[in-house]
Amino acid sequence: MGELVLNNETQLAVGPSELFALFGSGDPSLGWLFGAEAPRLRPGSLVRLALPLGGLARSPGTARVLSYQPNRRIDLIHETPWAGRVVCRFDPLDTGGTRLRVRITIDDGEVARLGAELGLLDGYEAGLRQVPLGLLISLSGAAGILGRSTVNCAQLAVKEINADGGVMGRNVRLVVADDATDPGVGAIAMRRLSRTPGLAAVVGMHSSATYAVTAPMAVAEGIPYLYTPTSEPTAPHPLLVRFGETPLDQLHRALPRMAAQTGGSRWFLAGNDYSWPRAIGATARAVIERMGGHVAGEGYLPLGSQTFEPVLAAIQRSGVDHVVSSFVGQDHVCFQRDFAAHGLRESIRTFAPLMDDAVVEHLGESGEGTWNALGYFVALDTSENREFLRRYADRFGSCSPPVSAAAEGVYEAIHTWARSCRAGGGTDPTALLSGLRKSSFKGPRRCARGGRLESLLLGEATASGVRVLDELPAATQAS
Amino acid sequence: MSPSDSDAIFSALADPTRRAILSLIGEHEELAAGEIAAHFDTLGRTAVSSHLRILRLAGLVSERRDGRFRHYSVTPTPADAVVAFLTSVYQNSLEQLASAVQDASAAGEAPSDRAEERSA
Repeated sequence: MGELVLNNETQLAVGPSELFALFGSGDPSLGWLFGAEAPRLRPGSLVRLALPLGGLARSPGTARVLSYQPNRRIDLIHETPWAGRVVCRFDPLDTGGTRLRVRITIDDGEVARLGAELGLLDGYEAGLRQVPLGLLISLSGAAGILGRSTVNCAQLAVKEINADGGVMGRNVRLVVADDATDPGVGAIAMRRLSRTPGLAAVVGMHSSATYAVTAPMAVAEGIPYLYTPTSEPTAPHPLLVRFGETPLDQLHRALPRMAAQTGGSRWFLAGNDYSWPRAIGATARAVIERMGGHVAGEGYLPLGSQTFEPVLAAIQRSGVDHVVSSFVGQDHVCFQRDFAAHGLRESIRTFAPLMDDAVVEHLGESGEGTWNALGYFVALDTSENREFLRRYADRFGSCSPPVSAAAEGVYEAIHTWARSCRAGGGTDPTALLSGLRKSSFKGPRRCARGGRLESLLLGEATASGVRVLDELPAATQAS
Repeated sequence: MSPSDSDAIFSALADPTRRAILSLIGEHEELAAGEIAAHFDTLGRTAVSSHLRILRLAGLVSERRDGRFRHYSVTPTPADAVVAFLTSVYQNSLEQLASAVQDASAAGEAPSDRAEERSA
């Protein structure tokens, strides 16, 4: 595969060591690359970016340190909103200044994806004898910062399926599209995917706001849609196959457990303002009231919020013992950081239904003590999970984004899809749907036939990852 | 492609709404301004027109007038635009770095003071 190489060079009036020290300070006036937020400079550590791509607002992105030599070189892997490699070299000048050379490498596939998403390039050409499988995810916008490990897990699943003979003798080809965490962009991306000749199915890992727009499009086009994230129940249709945890799965056992531990009874419900956080709010209220607790307040803010002050002030005033926080992606990270910075972490426990290993990496210490219940955490101690994590590390190296529950869910859904096609005898919707009823994939999470979740893990955030506290039955399994 | 073309492309594509509009036009042979506006329920006609003008000035879309209707299509010569956009995104960052370093030394402040502040 070819690649695009961009070389930039600039001369600066400060010495290499001074310039090197500026990298990662989080000061946006230094430009988005040097002004990135990189509290630790070590191989594999996360670099948070604020790119000038959000119109008036900054647009979040991620990179990772691959290696560095103090005062000489910084080598980064750019993860989102696109994948690439950025090498910065610092050469001393006779004047005492520095010649900074930045070499950017982006592979042709990624340039083609960006081109296709901008409507400029026809990036999705048909491959002969291949089965195209769509992956609709968020690589930009609020949820984009968590997207790279999902693409990685999807690629890993496809590689394993192809190594195992493909599906019905044909190799699977992944076609990735970005919804930019926006339903309108999601609709355009879905239309583009659905025009891919021979598209077998779409795997969706994005907000339910996008799903509300794209699911009817899939049904109208007759395309099976495998929707994997934690999400609220919606009207069923045979072509819409759902894998994720429901609000009731996540909350019905975990909230009473948290209240038993704190001895408190007062709750605040906060989140972004669209259908899923609202569904979490409604379910949480029902669970809390059933156990004799009290909802003292609720606050919802639009996706992509820049400030959480009104909700934080309301929480502070409400005198609650617990918060259920259903913010998404970058909003989730910023809310939890501000929450900790306000000193609320000491007196208020948080349950965050999207807290997973990838989010915890962004949160660092500010997330400590937060709980969640999901089908998967990296710390799951089973032979299937150890094997899965080993294959992920082998494929993507030690400087890759941590696997998240969302990413692992996509891995399982793609394997389940391939098993079902084989069991049903084809990649057409009829074969897939009949195969789904009789096949299962034994991956890291506890699933029954067709990918239905049987149990969840109760996890607690620590500064270094999620600790598994217990295993809880899914709501549909509970008596 | 000249640097000023690159700047215009970067400015045009640095806005998520304009990226979405461009992407939508790319899905069709040609779209009328009204059809584009109909897709974005939060944007008024005037806002859509101004986004279309910026895309047209950057050479990313072309306009065809038919009576009082204006139709838009994606300009063919695309690969360069993606490259120019990506180049400008990184270049923009280094230009800002250079000017921040220059401002700091003009103010007699060592830029590394800032780096020390963060570890404190």
